[in-house]
Formats: sequence, C-alpha cells, structure tokens
Amino acid sequence: MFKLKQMARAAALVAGIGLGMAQSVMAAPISVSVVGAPLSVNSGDFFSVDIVVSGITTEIVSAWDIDVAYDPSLLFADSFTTYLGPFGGFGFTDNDVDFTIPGLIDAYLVSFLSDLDLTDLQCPGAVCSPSLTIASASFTALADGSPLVELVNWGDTNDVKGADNKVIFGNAPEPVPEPASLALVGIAMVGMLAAPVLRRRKDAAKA
Amino acid sequence: MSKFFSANKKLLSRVLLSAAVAGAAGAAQAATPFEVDVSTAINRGIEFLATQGVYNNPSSVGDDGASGLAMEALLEKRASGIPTDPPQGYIGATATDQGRLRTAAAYILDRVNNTSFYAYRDGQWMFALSSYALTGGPDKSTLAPANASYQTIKQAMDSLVDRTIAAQRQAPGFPQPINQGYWCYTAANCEDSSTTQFAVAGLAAAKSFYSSNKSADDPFADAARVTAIDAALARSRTAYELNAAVGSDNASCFNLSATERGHGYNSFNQSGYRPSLQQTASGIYIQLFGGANINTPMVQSYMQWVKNRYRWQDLDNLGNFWSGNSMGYYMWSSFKAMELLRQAGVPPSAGNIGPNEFGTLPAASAPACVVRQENKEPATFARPAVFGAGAVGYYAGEPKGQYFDFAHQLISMQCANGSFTCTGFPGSWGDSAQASHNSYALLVLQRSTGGGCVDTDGDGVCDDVDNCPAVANANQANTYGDARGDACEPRPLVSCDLDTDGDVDSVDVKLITALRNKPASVNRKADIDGNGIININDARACVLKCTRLNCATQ
Repeated sequence: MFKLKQMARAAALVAGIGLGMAQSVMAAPISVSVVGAPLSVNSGDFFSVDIVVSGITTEIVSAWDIDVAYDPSLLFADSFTTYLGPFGGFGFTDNDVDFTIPGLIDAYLVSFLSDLDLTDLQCPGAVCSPSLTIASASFTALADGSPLVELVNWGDTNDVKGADNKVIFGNAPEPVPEPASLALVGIAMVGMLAAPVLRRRKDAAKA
Repeated sequence: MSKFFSANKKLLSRVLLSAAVAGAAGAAQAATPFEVDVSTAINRGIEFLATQGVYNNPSSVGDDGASGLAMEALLEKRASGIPTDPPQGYIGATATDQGRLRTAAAYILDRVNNTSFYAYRDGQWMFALSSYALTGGPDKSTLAPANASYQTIKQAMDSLVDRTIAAQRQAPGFPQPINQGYWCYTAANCEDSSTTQFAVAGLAAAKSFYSSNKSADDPFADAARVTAIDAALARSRTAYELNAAVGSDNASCFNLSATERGHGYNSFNQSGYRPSLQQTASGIYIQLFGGANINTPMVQSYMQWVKNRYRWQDLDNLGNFWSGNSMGYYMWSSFKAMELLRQAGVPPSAGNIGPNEFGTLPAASAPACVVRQENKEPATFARPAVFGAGAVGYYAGEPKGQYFDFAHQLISMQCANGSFTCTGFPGSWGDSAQASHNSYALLVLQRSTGGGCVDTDGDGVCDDVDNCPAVANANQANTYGDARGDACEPRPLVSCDLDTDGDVDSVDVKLITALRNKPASVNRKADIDGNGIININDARACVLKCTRLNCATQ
C-alpha cells in the first residue's frame, strides 16, 4: 500500500513535470545560490549562510557536489553542515566536506534513496517545495570588510542531480525557458529526425 | 528474427515524430539527388506492378509467377525514400500499400495448400510471407476468417518449408554430398542452381520467421524447423563447394586465377556447366546461409571469380545460355551477397577480398579480362530524362561502387510508366508484366537481402539484428545501450559492482566517491558514464542500480 502511495505521488510529480514543460514560460529556472551573507563584517563577527536550490517545483534533488569559495584573508570557515533529512538522513547518504584548500569548501552528497523515496521526502503530497536548503556554512570574520561567499567551479566536478540521475544544474546547460515557440520545437525535432539519417548515410558512405 | 522488426520500430517513431513537426517546421530533406531519383524509380516501379494486378488476389501473374518477389519488393520500399533507411514492412506502409500487402498475402495463404512444390514460387513465397509476418502483417483471422481454403501464416509457412526440404536432394536417395543440397523445378530430379538459389533464399528467410518470438494467429517460433532448415542449408553449401568449377563461357576471360571458382546453371559434376556470373553470385549467399563467412576459402574463390569478371551493363557471354534473361537476378544476387557480408561485419583476412571490391579492377589489370567493367563515375552522368532535367554532374558526390553501378543502370532503364524495360534493357524471361525483372530491379534499388538469415556467429540471432554479428552473444547484452553489444564493445564494460562481491551497495558507491573528481585513468571501472572523470554522476548512477533497498549492504 505504501509503495502504491509513493508511486501515485511519483506519477503526480511526473505529470507535474510534463505540465511544467508545457508551461515553461511560467516556470522559474533552477538555480543554486548562497543566501544570508552580510554585506559587511567587522573582525570577530560570526555569520552563517545557506546553500539553496530554487526553482525545483517539479524536480527532486538526488545528489550534489559544490565548491563554496570565500576570501581566506577575511573569513575563517568554522563549519559546514549538510542537511541530510531530505536525502534520507544519516545512514542513507554518502557525504563529506573538505576544507583542505584555503578559501574553498568542497562538499558533496549522494543519496542512497531511490527517486521514488526522494519524491516522497521532498515532495510530500506530490507538491515539491520551490526551494530546498541543502547545506549551511558558518564563518568568523578575521578582519573588517565585505565578505563574498559564492559557489564556483560548476561543470564536470560540480553539479546538482535530479530524478533519473540527470543534471538539473551545473554541468548541463541551464534550463532557461524560452517562449514556447512551435517553430523552435519543430527545429529541435527535425534535428532529432535528421540525426539518425545522417548517421546512416555516413555509415553507408563508409561501406 | 529479422531486420524488419527492429527497423520498423525506429521507422514508426520517426513517422510519428515527422507527423508531430510537420506543421511547425516541415520535413527534413536529407536525400541526395541520386537518392531522390532512386526513390522516384521505386515508387513508379511499385505502382507499375500494382496497376498490372500483381498484388491482387488472385495475382495477375498466377501461381507460378513472381508474386512473391513483387510482394517482397513492396515490403522493402522505404517510406523515407532513402535506400539506407529501414524498409517499410507492413506496419510502416501507407494504407494503400497495406491494402496491397493484405491481398498479396491472402493470395499466398489461399494458394499454398492448393499447390505443390515449385522451387521458384515456393522460395519467393517463403521470403515474402516471412517479411510480411515479421512486420505485423495481419493473419488469416483478419484476412479471411471464414474461408476454410485459407491457412494461417504459420500453417502456410510450415507447408512451404516442409515440402521444400522434402524436395531437396539428400540421403538416402542421394548418398554422396556432391549430389545433395540441390533442387530441381518441382522435385529432386536434377541439380539446378536457378531453382536452388530460390529455395535456399526462401528457407533462410523462413529461419528468420521461426527464430522470432513474434506471433499472429499462431506463434512463429519453431526450433525444430530451424534445425531442419539449418541442415538443408548446410547441404546446399557443401554442394556448392564440391561442385565449384573453373572457367567460363567467355573464352577471353576463361580462367583468370588459380584460386577462383564458380558455379553454373547446373552442378558441374552432373552437367559440365561452366560458371556464370549470376549463379556464382548466388553461390556466395548460398554458402553464407549455409554457415560460411567472408574468410571461408570457397567464398573467397567465388568472390574472386565475380570480381575478375564484374559487369554492370549486361552479362556479355558470362551467363551460360541465358545472359540477357538473367541480368536482373545477377544484379540482385551479387549485391545481396555483398550486403550480407557488410551486415556480418567480419573483416576480410589479409589478402582476401572485401565486400566493396567489385568494380575496382580495371579490365587491363592482371588478371586481364576484356569484358570486365570498372565502377561508374557518378559525376560523368546526366540525369535520365524520365526524372527531369539535370546536366552531367547531377549525381556528383554520390559514392562510387556496386550500388551506384547497378542502381544507375536500373533507373536509366526505367520507362515513364515505371517498368524497368526501356533504355538499355538487356531482356528478361518475358513473364507477365516482366514481374520478375521489375521486382529484381526494385530489390536492388532497395539494397534488399530478401529477409534471409545469416547467423555468422551461430548464436541464434540473425546478423541483420545482431548487435555483435561476428561474436556469439545470444543474450545480446548491451551495457551502453548503443549500436554495439558488449561482446563487440571496445570500451571497458561498466559495472557498479566495483568491489566485485556480486552485488551493488553503498560500499561500491563510496568507492566511487572516494575517487570523486579524479580522472578516469585512476580507475576506469569507476567512470560509469564514460565521460573521463569520476564524479557524483557515477555515484548516483550506481545508487540507481543498487541490489537492495537504500543500497544496504548484506
């Protein structure tokens, strides 16, 4: 029964994703940001920031790998907390944080839960939160100044994964919604059609 | 199994996608000018046969005509118009063509149990019926549910196969292998190759049918008949090896190399016929259907014989007594044999001939043969007027080779009404509507192999659908889901069981994340997606393959 309930929720989520595609003009892009950094600090100040994934109303987060950069002459990284709850809690995730490089926090998390279970956790009632806080970092200011805490190095070594192990932010081109132009859709689909033809023709030329 | 089944799944999806975008962006035109004209020629040729009543029930060509050849040609029409694209089969055909195929199939289902063995017709009916059935053609329950005269597809195929094998020369009546494996016209009273080539082609296609797990009114799978067919095909292969002969009817190109061999219209042992172009060409595919491959010495000997005398214009004096009549069949059989070799993908060993070498040897080059023809140069031809205006160079850029030689020759031969019997027509058998010649022409233009099953690696999967045709892999495992099965995969095969303890669990995932963001060279097994870097994408990919819930360890 539990599984059926989960599957129903997953189905609803999938339907939601489909709806999201159809209404892509309305959907916000998925983004990952640092939230809560003060504009200025005095030496000895303590503050925390959150790492937030936004725009995931029709998506789950299943794994992530991020680099948080800061000025090590201005800030000291006290701690980095990964929020395990949405990913199955302790025991059902593989995660770690690395402070080895001055000015850089390298952290990752991989959930051991299935997409269905993650859907149940992150999208209760088949309604996903528009944003998910995945981690927090705490700093102490070493001097007066304007602290800059940012996410860097997106690409092969840093990204955010969604359902079915697809990259939802970082590695793949950002899903920037454009006007739902039928012509653009048509061009894309013609490309899909042309690809196998071109492959076959190339093979034939080799023969 | 048959190429039709897999190919038409792709075709169907492309058709649906085409429909989806038609209103938005129009269809992509990827065909070359030559392919466009070939497509036009195919459509005109099919329409010509249709207007002659060949696809009717009863067929205008009668029980002993070329109705099966014409039906195969209709099944192998390309919906896209591009000859290298998948054949339409039944399911991908237009409503008009489906109607034609239904009446053509109904005719066969009605007539099989009202006829007795006749090699030409039964061979054609076997490959046409197999291709029709494997691509979703309706069975008796749809075509003629209340007519007791009709058989189901499986019943008709069983009858055709059983009586064909029964009519083959074999022990105990013919105890010597050199006398076995042949058919005559309606019985086993001669060693005729023109009939044997049809019987073999039909049985090879029936093997595709019986190897399939598909069904219509009855399931097609029949392991016992596959075994019986394999034995019959092996007998024919042996006969073509034992009766391999030297020489030709053309004295100027009599014997050109020490190892070349060929086959004439009857076995050399019984008749003394010297090899001919068309019977030597069909002898290549007869050996392939019997289990040989490109590096089998006698296959090479037959290929040498044809290569040394290659022609695309006519058969000159290389066709025994039926040089003009046999041109269409020579074109199909020789192209089909080379196409089967290309599908098998077995590379020729050092010094052996490959499947793309017919026409590459100039007439004066050793061994010299004055009637040998080189490949045509596409850029030197103007467009045949029947297709519209086009100056010399209209086909520039088209690849040279056997396909262009034959296809260009055929489309140049086509009349405005679609019959391939105008400019340069070398003559044929004069059968009703020239249905056999016109069908051969269509089958060449469509690169047809006639639905026959060559199973080079003997794993039970025909080469045309085998994801690794030269290496036995009955399970068709394909980790990457690409065109190559694991048995042919040059990349290291991925497995999330990194610790090789027989399952996938959190230990394996953590072995990957321990190497996070390192190059794949550190441990290629951990680069699950093969992108050259080990990262969380690989880790999460393996989570989704965990043996137990939540990647629990045992």
